Amino acid sequence: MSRITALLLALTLLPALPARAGEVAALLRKADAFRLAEGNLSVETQLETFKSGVLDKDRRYLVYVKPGRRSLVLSRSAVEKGQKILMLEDDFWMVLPSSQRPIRITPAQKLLGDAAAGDVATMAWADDYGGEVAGTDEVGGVPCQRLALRARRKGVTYQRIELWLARADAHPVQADLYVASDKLAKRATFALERVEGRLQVSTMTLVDQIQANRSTVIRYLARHPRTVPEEFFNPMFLVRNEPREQP
Amino acid sequence: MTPARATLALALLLPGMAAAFDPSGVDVEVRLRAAPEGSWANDTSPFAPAAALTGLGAERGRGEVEARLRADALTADVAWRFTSLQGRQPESAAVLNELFYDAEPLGQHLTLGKKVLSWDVGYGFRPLDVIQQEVRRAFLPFALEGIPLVAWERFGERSATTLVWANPLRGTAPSPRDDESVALRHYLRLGGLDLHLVGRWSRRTLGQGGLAGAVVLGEAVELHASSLYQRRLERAGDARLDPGAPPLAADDPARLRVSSDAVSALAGFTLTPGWDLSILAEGWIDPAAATAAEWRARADLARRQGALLSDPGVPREVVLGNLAWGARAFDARNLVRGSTYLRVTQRWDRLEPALDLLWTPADGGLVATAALDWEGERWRLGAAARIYGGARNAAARLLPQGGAFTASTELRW
Repeated sequence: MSRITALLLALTLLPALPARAGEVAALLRKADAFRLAEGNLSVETQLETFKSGVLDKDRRYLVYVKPGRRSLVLSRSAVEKGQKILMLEDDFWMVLPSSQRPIRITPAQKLLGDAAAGDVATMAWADDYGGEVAGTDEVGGVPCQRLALRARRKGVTYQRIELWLARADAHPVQADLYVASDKLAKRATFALERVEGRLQVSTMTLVDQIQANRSTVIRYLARHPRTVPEEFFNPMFLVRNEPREQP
Repeated sequence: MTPARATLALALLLPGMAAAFDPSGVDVEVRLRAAPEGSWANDTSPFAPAAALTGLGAERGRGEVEARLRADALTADVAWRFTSLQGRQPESAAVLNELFYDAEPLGQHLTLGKKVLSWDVGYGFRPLDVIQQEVRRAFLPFALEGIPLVAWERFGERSATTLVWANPLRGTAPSPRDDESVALRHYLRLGGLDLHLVGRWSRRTLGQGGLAGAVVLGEAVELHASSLYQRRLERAGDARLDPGAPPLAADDPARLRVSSDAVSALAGFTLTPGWDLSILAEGWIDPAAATAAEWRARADLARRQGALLSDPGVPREVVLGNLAWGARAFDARNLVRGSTYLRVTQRWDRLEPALDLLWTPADGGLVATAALDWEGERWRLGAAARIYGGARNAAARLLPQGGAFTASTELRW
């Protein structure tokens, strides 16, 4: 290919790139809408961990979500009672009931254990990821667009995601989740249910790709529009008293 | 807390308690812990002959039943504790760890009652815990007991201010946790940096001021540091270590040593490289702790006292009592002025092995602890072993116990 031909080809393709990026952002926003309505929410979440198909752990969380990549995860299970994780953009704090102080934690510490706090608290891709439409596939009989996504900021739980969205309405069907070492950590599949006339992701199943026979099922038991005080998202407020859901 | 003060606190809290009581909103959590403990003696310690008097190495177990109740703005944490020491009757006590009411009149945040206050960012040592101070060396420390206080707090988007009146109307007391004082903590979030500014004033210790910061760099590194300036520093001294003093005292030789303008500091990091591995490393200076030279002097004194045990002209009880007075130096928050600490843990599903090393470079002392915990849904089981060692005159090596071990059980519901 001569230099002139290559230049002409580049000039022809360049205007298309922002359009592709815009298309991906629009698709992600559509996909996010199946997981999380926009605005302030409280989400009651159940997290079950299975080993070789046998239930190993059952945890409950209450998650407050605010715009601007802010979320607060409150443990509701006896084993983790009083434990709180606060995520403000790329910064994270944990409060353990035994210490009564907010402890700064690294993004890697969010991944401790079978269930990453990020899996529970992060319910939107559009703000955190960018990429391209990498092709089309059929997953579980659903025609899908495959998106190749990369994290646009530090602190996200997964650095790279391959995401399959239904061609019909962009609902999430499957996601391959890669950690910083570019190792495939988990494969997520999504089940949808109609709630109050709106189709929503009701369950996310994460199959561990590193530890064999491990899987985690995250059920979104209830989502409520809730505006909690700004103070709930101040690390120092967390030791004051456990925030209660405000009607 | 005296009965009069307890009555006053209850009188202040009762209206809030009555207003807060809503059975549907009551949240109760109970925790039961028990840990038999054993140890082996360090016969080379010059304090060994008085080990039975000091209680050092005599721990044979401890247990705690702790109930935490929350009803809206009211929180209470009560515990029944027991300890067992070799050769003594087991002791038990009921402790009110916390009882506080979070009031929000006119948009202000007030706390009234008894509450735990943890302000520092460190783990092995916490200079900015200017009121509440944790016992760091216990295998299975009891739940923290709060401080009687009145506190006002303000929370901004990226800042928070806490003003505390600790131990109201109590007056001066030897320990910071009992001393009446006023303390201020201001928190700022500057980008990714957590910054804490702390000040405290009491009639006894005068002014103190400090600064702490914590920041996360990249995916796996957290850095933290804190420092505290103290206008007046109080340290434990011993009259028998004064030049020309006789080795045996007839009365308690404890003397309060006061100095000015002291600075304590801590710096450390946490590394989480993956594989559920966590590495914590810290180094700190505590000017209230003894120097290596002071420990050498204590060891020399104890050896001279021990030599008197074979002197028929000196009552044995007097010598043992003097050795036991000297052994109180082991109760210090930090044994030696400079310390380094390393903790490595890795989580394997429900199992978590941990290795702790505390090394005091100035005297060559070493405390090593290996532990293994298993966490179930409601049960937590653990086992740990610790050895004290190092150079001949290192504080850790002078302990009359060579090491200890424990097995613990915890049940939560």
